[in-house]
Amino acid sequence: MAPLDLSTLSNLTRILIAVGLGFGFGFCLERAGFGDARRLAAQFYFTEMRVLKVMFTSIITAMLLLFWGVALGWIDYAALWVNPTYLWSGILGGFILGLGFILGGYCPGTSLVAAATLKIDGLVFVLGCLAGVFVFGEVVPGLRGFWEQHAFYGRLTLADWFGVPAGVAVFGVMCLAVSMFWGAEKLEAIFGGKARGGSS
Amino acid sequence: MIVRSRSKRKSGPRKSPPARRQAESKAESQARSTSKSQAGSKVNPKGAAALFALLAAFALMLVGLPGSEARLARLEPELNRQLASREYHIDPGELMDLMYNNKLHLFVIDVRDEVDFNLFHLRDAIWKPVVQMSAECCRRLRAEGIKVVLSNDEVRAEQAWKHLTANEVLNVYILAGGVNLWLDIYKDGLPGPPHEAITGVGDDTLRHEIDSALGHVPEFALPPHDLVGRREYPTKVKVARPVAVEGGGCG
Repeated sequence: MAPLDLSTLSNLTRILIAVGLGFGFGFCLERAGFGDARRLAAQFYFTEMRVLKVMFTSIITAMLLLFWGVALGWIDYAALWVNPTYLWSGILGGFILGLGFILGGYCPGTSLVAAATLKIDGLVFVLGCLAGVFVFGEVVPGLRGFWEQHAFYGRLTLADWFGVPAGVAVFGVMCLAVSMFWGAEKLEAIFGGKARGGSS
Repeated sequence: MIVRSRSKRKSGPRKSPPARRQAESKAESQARSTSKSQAGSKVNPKGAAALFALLAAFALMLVGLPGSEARLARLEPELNRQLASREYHIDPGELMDLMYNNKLHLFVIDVRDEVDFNLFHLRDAIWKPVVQMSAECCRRLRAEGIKVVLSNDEVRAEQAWKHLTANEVLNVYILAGGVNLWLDIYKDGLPGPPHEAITGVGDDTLRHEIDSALGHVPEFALPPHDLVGRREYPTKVKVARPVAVEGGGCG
């Protein structure tokens, strides 16, 4: 029964698995072009929607595999970690992340991808991330009350929130994804075409 | 003197002869049909992928995820093994320690009849018999925290434990010996058997005589703090997921 209990493996094995998964993830990000800040920032100007397409594709792929595994009895859904929902801290943190993303052209993961290919802006972004992490660590005792006391919903999924079966939620997300892909293509045609025409 | 013909000529492009017009229109129609056939044989990969994903999601919606009965049937052998090993049966002393531990969220769930619950129940216990444990109830219980189910002995508590565990509620434990043993120790002052000797054998009826509906008022509903640690027991409560959130995400 999945998910596998990695705690039964040795430390070295777990480290090697983590390294392998990290390598694969970074490889896929780089191959998708996420080591280029211009492509990442273009998302916010609707000229290139690669980030949305790749990320949402990965989301729906994992979602289908996961829930089909549960439906077939191969995966114990209860044993999977689902990040608890801290609503207001999630909204505020997402806003801050988005601000940094559009200013710097990277998110933390893609900055590592860029740094791995020795892009100077990626390296600087990584240093900025580390500085931010350090500062946050120093002030976190004063902030803990905010995310623990404001809108903590525990393990909350879309199916729980809407009160529908998980399969209905999966289908709803899939419809949303397909419509967003279609919309992204349209935006690229509108804004991406203008940008290319303006720059020529 | 040049004489021009007065025959009327329409203005416009010079028309090609009929034979050439026929050849040109035939070539055009052949070109259109070729492009149509080529377009028909090419499948739009994006559309195909989107259609496949939608069909997979639609099929999943129809198939649905296993319900609680199906999950229980699938998990029952393993659950029975866990119950037989008593790894989820916690000592009354451990429960009392948990009741005084303000670093954990503790839910004491009393699954007995309402009459027994009104006669006596532990401080802050929630009355919730198994038949009332709906999917919504289980969903709310999935929140972080330790849940301890209890009955007069262990029969109903074990049923409730299986039901909650099959419904994906984690960190559920059973009070070993039930309310009867709790009252033996904290009401009657008996030392109680060692934890290893608690078998939970009983027909789940309340053995103690309680004359009136005391609820959680008596002192033994939450024994004094100086009794914490008096009983020796193996610690069995392990939080299946960390209480504090660790961050995660693709960054």
